[in-house]
Amino acid sequence: MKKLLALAGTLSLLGCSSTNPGIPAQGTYISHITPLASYPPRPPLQKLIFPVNTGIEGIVVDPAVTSYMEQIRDRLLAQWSGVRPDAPIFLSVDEHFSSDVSPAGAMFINAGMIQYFSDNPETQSEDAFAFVIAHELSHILLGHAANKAANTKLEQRFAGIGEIGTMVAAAAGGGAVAGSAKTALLALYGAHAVGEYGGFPSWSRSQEEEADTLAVDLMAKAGYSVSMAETSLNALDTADKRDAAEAALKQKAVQEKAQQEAEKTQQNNLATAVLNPLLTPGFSLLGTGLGYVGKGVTYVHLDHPHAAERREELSHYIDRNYADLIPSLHKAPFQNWIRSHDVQKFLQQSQAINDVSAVAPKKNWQKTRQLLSKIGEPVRSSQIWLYFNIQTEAGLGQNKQALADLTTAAQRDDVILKIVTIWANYLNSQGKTDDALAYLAQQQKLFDDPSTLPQQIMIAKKAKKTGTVDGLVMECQMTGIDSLQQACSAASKS
Amino acid sequence: MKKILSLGLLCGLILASPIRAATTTTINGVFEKTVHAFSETYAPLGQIPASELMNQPVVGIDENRGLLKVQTARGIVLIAGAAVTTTKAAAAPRETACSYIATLSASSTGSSAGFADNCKPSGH
Repeated sequence: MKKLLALAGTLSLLGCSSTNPGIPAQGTYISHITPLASYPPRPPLQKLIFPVNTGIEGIVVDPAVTSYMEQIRDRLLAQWSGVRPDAPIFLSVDEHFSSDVSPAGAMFINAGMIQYFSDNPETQSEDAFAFVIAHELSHILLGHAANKAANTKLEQRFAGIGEIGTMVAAAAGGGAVAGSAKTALLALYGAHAVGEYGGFPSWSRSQEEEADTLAVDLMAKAGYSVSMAETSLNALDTADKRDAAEAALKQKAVQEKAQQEAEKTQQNNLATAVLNPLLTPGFSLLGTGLGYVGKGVTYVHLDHPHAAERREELSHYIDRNYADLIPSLHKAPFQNWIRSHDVQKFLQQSQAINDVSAVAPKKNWQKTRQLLSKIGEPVRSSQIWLYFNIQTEAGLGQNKQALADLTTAAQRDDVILKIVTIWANYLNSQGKTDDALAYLAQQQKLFDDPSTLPQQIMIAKKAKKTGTVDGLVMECQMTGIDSLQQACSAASKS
Repeated sequence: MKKILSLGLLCGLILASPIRAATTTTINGVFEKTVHAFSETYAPLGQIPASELMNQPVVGIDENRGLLKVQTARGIVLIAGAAVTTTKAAAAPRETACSYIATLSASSTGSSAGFADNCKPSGH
């Protein structure tokens, strides 16, 4: 029922106004796009960087590194005929070769992406790196990330409201009423949702292709060599193949192990093997192997098309529109930047904090302290550094200092969700129940994310605030998020 | 058309000299029937048949414009790297453990608008 309601909600709103007609068979994509009339105003930082702040990595702010990327962004953005969004750029210590945008329109460039260009001198041109910036910028210009987030949230709320309708109707007198109550609530909430979110297209992988294509248009108009767009896609393609090869190796290992076990079982109990076809080598081995590899393959390409596909599509598009353009590459500025002290320092510190993240779970706090002490600015000012430092101080019994750092971290506008939950637990442990609940409610609003509801319910329940618990449970039900609803239910019964 | 080109690519791979393939980067795939080519002084040479490029050695890269220098029967021509595939794979990004990259958010309303798929660890 939940899925049906979500689907109904989505379908009822599909077909609303779209800002672009898709990639044309002839001509450039950018010339076919009608730019959005406006972009939402820049929200407070906490909302701007969501959902990066729901992970431990958070953001790193370092204008010494990002100012050059902002120059590239501005050069690309100057080619856009419509309203120009802010599209602020933040750094992430994430080692993964990727970048991202938030629903509110911020860009995040991973250390792993910058590291690749640093590691491979043959890739070092502004043109090649501009494609990464242009790709993310295109997602923002086309409203992709915001649409996807709104779509997901709306689907969840449709599902949630349906369940509330059932609860209300059940309380009012039974199943016969439930349907009509649900319909009425759905209609009411649907109208509200349309007003709140406006029209949106369904999210699909084709939006990756749109972002790649618009990126190439922006690059061409900005005087960059569009052929360099292949640089990052080639790297992804190599990674795709490496991952596929590793998955194949794992499959082979699983198959061999299964076969050995099956043979052993067969030898040990020939009669059972003969009687039970599941124990024959060919059968059990195949099932285990395929199951494992299937998971691996979908893991690698869950959201994005294969890099080879993206590259081929782009090649056709470039051939059609820009094959005669061969501008000089912009190498020197990029090489100066990527080799600069500031960039290299950020990369080293990102590596170091990733080392900390590997050591911290082992609770070797002396070692963690040693590693943390070597990390300077800008990563030292980030939430991830603070998080591990607070853990380390607490682990070493330096509670006063840990508390001071936690107090500071919890009040910052780039606070990560993990710090929020720790701070609320601390307040609650000190008997400051109302303060803990108020803090969590405030953070829920600032994040615009209901993830702390189970914690709020638990705190309210412990304080015997029955009315508050009931309200929070209802609010949790409204989210329509299965896992969250289950957690809320468990918290209310704890 | 794509099938024909793919077939050409496959044949090219099979027929390519193993000795040369081991030592020299060659063109092993094209995306169109013809490819825009330029002289070493960047003069347009028009579109040359893809068959003239298949299995031909890449003798260098033009540092100024990033074009591939390909030895063909008509001499060295410059072509855009985006127009072809070669036997030389790009360097791979460093492998990552995704050791801590996990969201605590339950809403799943985050972005999938990244350049590539993000790490998806089993949990933190």
